[in-house]
Amino acid sequence: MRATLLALTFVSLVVAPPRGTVALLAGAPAGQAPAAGARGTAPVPRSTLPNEKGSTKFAVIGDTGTGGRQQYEVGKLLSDARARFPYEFVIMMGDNLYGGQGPSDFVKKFETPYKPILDAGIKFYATLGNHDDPAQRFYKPFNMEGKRYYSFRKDDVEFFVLDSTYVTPAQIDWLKDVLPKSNAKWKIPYMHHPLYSSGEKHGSEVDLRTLVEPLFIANGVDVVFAGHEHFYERLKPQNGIYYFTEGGSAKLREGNIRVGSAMTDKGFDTDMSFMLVEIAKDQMFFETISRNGQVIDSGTIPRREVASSPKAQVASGQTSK
Amino acid sequence: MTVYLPVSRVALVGVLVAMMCGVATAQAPPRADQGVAARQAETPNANPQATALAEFQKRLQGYIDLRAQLAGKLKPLSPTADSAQLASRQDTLAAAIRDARKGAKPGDMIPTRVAGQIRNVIADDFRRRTPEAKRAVFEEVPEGIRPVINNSMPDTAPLATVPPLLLTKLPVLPDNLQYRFMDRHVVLIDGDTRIIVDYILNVLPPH
Repeated sequence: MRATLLALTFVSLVVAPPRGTVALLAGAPAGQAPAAGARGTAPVPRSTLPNEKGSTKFAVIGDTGTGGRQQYEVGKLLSDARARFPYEFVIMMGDNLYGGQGPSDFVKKFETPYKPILDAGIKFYATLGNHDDPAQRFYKPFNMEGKRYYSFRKDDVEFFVLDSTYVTPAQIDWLKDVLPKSNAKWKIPYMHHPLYSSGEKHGSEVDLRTLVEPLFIANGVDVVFAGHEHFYERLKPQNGIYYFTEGGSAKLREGNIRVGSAMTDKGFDTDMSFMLVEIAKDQMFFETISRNGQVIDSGTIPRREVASSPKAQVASGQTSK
Repeated sequence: MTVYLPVSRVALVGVLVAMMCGVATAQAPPRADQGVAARQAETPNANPQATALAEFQKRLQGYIDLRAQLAGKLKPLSPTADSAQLASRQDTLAAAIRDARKGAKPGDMIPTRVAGQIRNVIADDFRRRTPEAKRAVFEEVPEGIRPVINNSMPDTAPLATVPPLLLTKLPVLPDNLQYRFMDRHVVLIDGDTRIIVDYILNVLPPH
């Protein structure tokens, strides 16, 4: 019922959409109940991604480190997805390990569920969540190189990985320094805590938003990923920026997206999920897949030119929907 | 008379040089590890708060130096794919810090006056927050635990996020130290080992 309320009317746009509009390419109705017995043996869905040669392809998972059955099921789907969409790396939204952080936890909650992906040489780039021991930054497969916050570049995309669990003034100074210096076409920050969220449990991280959102706006950020909330949410563009929450790749807070939230463009809080993303030139294609293998959201986001007067959007106080 | 004139001149020059040096010291750019509070504390009429803050920074630096010294004798916490090795290095560093600080007491790191300032800043910050915002802050703060120096933060509970705007108002810490909340208490922890280095009791409003 709740999920039905969150369901969107899917539309297909033939032409490139104007800024502030996601062109939804395909998808099953949000919150559609998974078929009984389908879990773990889910069919591989037909891709809505263009799979262009030379594009930047990656996956997004969040709040994964439970070591539970659901994490393994999503892990298998994520691994299987490579056959149709050969993503080159995975970005992790934090809470990489819940509970114990000992050697056996790294095996049970990370190395085993993603073994086929790791064996294929696919890199994971982690951020720290509030359940993570900060010493995880020294764990090589997380590719944090010992840093709590860092950036890395893939083709035309630069990722800015923040430690939202402990935002020191030094971290903000770092962001103020590196964001304007980046000449990447796409600047994508990600962190554990979402700046905007319709979650009843946590909600938007307003303090953090106050500090970093002006930097995102001023420096041409188009897309931001986060986790923390144990569901999937695509927010309506906020000050011209698209925010995704993918914190449901192993844990689920069922029915936690606030009914009637004006911020939600698409919500999915009835099962676990992960995302596949492709950036080809000036467009970002995305696809969100549920634990039973259904594409529950997909679309295309055009890149915003830095010169397209972001200040005017802020000054007007309007979201660009 | 003529004998004394040069001496007086020398004395006068000396006083002038000393004054200039004083001015030069006061105008010197802050050192990275100190800042305004520390520089004020070096002057005879320093205000007590600045002196306390300078003392706090000195103690923090002392901790960082100790930590570096201990870490230097061990295998470094550097990127490794071996999670067992990572845990072992972390445990070894934690054990060395505990051993080196086995006599540490509450207040050894945070001077009383600075603790008072932290209390005031936090009280002021929470007064400005809406009930909803307060609830969000306290949501994952571990409850029913009393901090003990040299104990670790429990790894079964999340490290509750200290509001970023509040962090901008608290005295700055070196990179490896963090303020965290535990029940109604503020703890100062070593970020890598999660060891409680010092704490201030009953700072946060009841929740």
